[in-house]
Amino acid sequence: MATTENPVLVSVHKFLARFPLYTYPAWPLSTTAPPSGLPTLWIHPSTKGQEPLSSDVECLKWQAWLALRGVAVSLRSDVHPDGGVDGKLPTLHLPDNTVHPAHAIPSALSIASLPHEGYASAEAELESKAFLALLESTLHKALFPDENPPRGPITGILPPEWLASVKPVSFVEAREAITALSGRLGSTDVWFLGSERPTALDAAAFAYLHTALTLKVGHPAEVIKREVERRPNLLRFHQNVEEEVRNAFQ
Amino acid sequence: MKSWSQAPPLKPPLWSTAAGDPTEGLSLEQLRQWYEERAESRLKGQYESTVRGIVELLEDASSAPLRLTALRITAPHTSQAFLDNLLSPYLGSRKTSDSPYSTVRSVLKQTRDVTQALAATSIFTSLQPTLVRSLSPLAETGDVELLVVAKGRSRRFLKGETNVGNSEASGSISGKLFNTLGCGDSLSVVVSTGTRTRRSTEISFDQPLPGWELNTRGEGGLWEYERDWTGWAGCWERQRGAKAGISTRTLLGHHTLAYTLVSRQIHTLAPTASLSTRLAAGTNIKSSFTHTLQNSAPNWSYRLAQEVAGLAGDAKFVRLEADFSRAIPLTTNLSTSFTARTAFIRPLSESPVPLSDRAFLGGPTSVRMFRMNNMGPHDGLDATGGELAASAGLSLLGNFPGRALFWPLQWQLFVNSGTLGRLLPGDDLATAVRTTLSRPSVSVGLGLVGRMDPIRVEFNLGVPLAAAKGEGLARGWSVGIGLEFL
Repeated sequence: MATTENPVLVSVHKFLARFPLYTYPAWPLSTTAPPSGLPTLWIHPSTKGQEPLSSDVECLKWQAWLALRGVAVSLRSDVHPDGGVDGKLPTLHLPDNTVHPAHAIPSALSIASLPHEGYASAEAELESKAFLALLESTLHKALFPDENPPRGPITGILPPEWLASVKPVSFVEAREAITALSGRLGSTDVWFLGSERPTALDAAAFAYLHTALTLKVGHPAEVIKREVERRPNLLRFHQNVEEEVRNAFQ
Repeated sequence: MKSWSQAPPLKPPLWSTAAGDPTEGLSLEQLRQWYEERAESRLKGQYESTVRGIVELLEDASSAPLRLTALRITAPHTSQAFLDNLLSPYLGSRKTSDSPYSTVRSVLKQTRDVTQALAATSIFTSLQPTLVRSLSPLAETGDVELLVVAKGRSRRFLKGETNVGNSEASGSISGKLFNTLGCGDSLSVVVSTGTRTRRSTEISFDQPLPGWELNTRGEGGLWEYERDWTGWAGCWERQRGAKAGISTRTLLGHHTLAYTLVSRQIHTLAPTASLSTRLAAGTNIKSSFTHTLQNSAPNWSYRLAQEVAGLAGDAKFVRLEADFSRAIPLTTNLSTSFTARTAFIRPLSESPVPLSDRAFLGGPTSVRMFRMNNMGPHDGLDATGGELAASAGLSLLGNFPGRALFWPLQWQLFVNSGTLGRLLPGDDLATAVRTTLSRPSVSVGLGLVGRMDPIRVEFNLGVPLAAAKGEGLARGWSVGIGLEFL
């Protein structure tokens, strides 16, 4: 249905639209574009000072993925997670001053998707999803047992340290996950699931292995660190990928 | 030559002039009025005679020796130490310039001083002083005691209110406890929630400082609030802070010197938040000393504030603010008012001044016909705020004629101007000031002003005449509710 506008209101709006009579140019703004001219990945900083590898597993996952895909990006670790898209890091900041959440990084950087997402076959692609679920669920819970505990209306006002879980975390499943991961890598493969090139699973596996291997002494999940250290093929994989990622961000 | 300074002595017989008879032919109503006026005039005469008699009696006796030996205060819920500290200056034998020893006059002055000191605490609703002969076995002739019966005012206060205005609706509950410790102390708790300020809680305490004059008070407070800044900066701001200070009054006005430790968090950014806001996100701690001087009278007021931040925490800057307001009556029904506000913030480190500490301009109580806090530099849709701010407003206010003359409603014509600029670390101060002052935004308009002291409500029609590209404009009509307007 067509709307008929009141002619008086139209005249008033036309009159008001003439103002302001004088317009200054926009205020000059200090530059917020990435200084390197490259796309910049905002990440959680490392706990070890100038270390380029983030201490956050999600950020490290994307760092590894970008490095393994050979995409040149610079890093920025002084932005608070609240400043990231959806209040999360990593966030990608492009030279055109647009920002993108982690899941939009491939499309923002126009990275072409590979057949079977880079895996050797459709079966391998399907299997990768099971391994990713194992990493991001079983291993994640074991490495970060205190992450986002459910908090009710009363417990919500108490400091998190008062609510430290008293239930001991079972590491049996996590150890089984490490065993499965090691078994699937084999002793000679460079990448998981027999892929010819690095995939998202390799990036995720590196991120979790690195997190496990850099756990502090006395951490409740130290048993996972020891489990990884007993697997030479996982250690070799971690070492290779770490070198590649470090080289990419040095 | 006859001297006019000497009145002739009165000699009887004298005739009474107090009475008299009403004129004949008055109606019943006129007669009633005549008798009422006569009764009133007699009462008035008797009262004046009595007062004159007392004054003469006191004048005659003012130089008679009298000594105040004790002071007894009956004041509920008031600490002895507080009263001792308050009244110690008024104890002891005092001599006037006329007499080398304590007299009736000096004792009456002591009584007045004690009563005034107690009244100044604002913790009593009534004070009844009485001088009685001293009952002490060691008392000498002319020794008296001062008894003061004080009635305390209500010590608990609870109020709930709702407010709508400045694009915000809010509800609050405030509770106050007076004189809980018995030393003129005050504890207040305000909890409020609203569309723009959510979860605001403020607890403050103040009391006179022992050993200082009554108007020198120690203050302390804790607060937490969450404010919606999505309208101009695309984010929310959460503050948690503590403050301790001292306030006093001098000839220049009311001074407050305070130390503040506050954590500010810029969070929950809008999906469209600019990069400037994103880079400002996170928690920032400020540790600062502030001094504020403010003074006001019915037709003028001023406020000067200085803040130094950086002894600890993340924020490092110096802030100077000066506000001035003056109203001048032109005729009985016409007046003009002028208000000017300035802010200067100089960063003291390599980091820009945190978003929470920057100045913002625009809005119904600031520069009218611009959107709230939406003036100055912008990054996309978000105002970045600034470190240099100046605004001024000139209004002509008039009463409506006829019966509306007595309504709390006036018309106004106004012209507002304001400018806001950045002063980043490393910027040349003179250049930044010159750039900022060279591009003032200007607005004009007319409207209605309703006064419900201390709140003022405005309904305005106006337009911005000059504005910078990107500034938020509010052409047409706007409503403002507030305490202080430009």
